[in-house]
Amino acid sequence: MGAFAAHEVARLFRLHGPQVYRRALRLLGNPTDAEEALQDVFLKILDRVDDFDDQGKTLNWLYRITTNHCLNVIRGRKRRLALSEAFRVAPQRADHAVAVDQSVLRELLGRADPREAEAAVYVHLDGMSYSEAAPLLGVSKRTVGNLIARFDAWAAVALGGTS
Amino acid sequence: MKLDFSAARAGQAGCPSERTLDALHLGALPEDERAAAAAHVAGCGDCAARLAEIQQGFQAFASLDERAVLARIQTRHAEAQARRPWWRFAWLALPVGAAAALAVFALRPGPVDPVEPPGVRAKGGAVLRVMRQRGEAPAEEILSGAACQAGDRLRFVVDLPAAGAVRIVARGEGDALVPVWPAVGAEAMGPGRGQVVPGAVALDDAGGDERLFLIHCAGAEPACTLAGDALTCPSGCTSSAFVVRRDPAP
Ligand SMILES: [Zn+2]
Repeated sequence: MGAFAAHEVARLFRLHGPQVYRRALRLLGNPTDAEEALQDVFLKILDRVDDFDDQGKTLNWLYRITTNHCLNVIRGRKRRLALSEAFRVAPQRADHAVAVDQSVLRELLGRADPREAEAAVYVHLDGMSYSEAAPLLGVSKRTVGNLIARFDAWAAVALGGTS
Repeated sequence: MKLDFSAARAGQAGCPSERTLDALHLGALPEDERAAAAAHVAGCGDCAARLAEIQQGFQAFASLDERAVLARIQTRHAEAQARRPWWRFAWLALPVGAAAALAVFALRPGPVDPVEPPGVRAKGGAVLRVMRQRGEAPAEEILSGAACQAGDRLRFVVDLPAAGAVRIVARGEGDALVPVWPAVGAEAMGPGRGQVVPGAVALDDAGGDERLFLIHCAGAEPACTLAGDALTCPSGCTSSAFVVRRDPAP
């Protein structure tokens, strides 16, 4: 693809930039990393701008590209909190659910299986239903449920060892 | 130990997802979903605030200098354009909508055939087919190994024996698999023959042949590895290889 006109870049940036930034902020947790992610994701968008067709598909595509980029950033972070630093839990009754906040979820995402982590972003962080997340993951609704079940089981073990 | 992620998610349980609110803002929801989301937002203070923030665009983020970020993106984009991209397929910008894209390619996919019942056709694997358009000539289907030239535009058509996750990848440096379509992840597709993949690639003038693979997985994740010419995929997956030979332009 040839050079993409500067005014077209600006138009796409105004239209989709806030959404990418907002998402990167949620995923990464700080404005510095989010701003860098916004730049990086936009350069990827400009390389593949033909994937933009109708707005619904464009949105899903942006979600996937931003999610995967940010997950890579999280995985590459040098300093990670030990899960025990991030997550301190009082002894619980077995039937009592333990709340996981965004910063702990982020630490988990950096360590989890990549596919399960992507599913967990859509469901646990974005609040999507399994059927809403299914087309983004390219799998059936049932498979989304399986990915989430595996993530949750793994996370419980990962966090349980620290209490 | 049972975990509760509701503190991490946007909105409350039962509130629309971030994606739904983004889609509502962009006007990208189907009418029934749009009406349901709008009704929820009208009655939920949390979601009204979330939507208002989305509608503010960059103004919601006081600390971000959007003009500086845009300038940086444009500079980096121009620098990247000046270098030859390592990616040897250049994606074409196609007009909006599948119908317009097909008009450009003068390619008639026809209706998607239902899959023949089992037993009629022994071979059950997914098949990658390639349509080539050269100049203004009508698109024609080419066979694997056919010679192509720089500037040829290629579109992909897939025959799928069953529903599943689909990816098209190319062999990159050092047996890496590079996504051709979709850009990330895999696309969920139904069964049927002659399904046209959106978008097209234009062949650039890099030397050498291109080896493409269609990966189709029913129930498994399409995570395959390449060693030489051999693609290894999880069970439940089938693949189909296609070689695009590059001939020097006459
Ligand atoms: Zn709400």
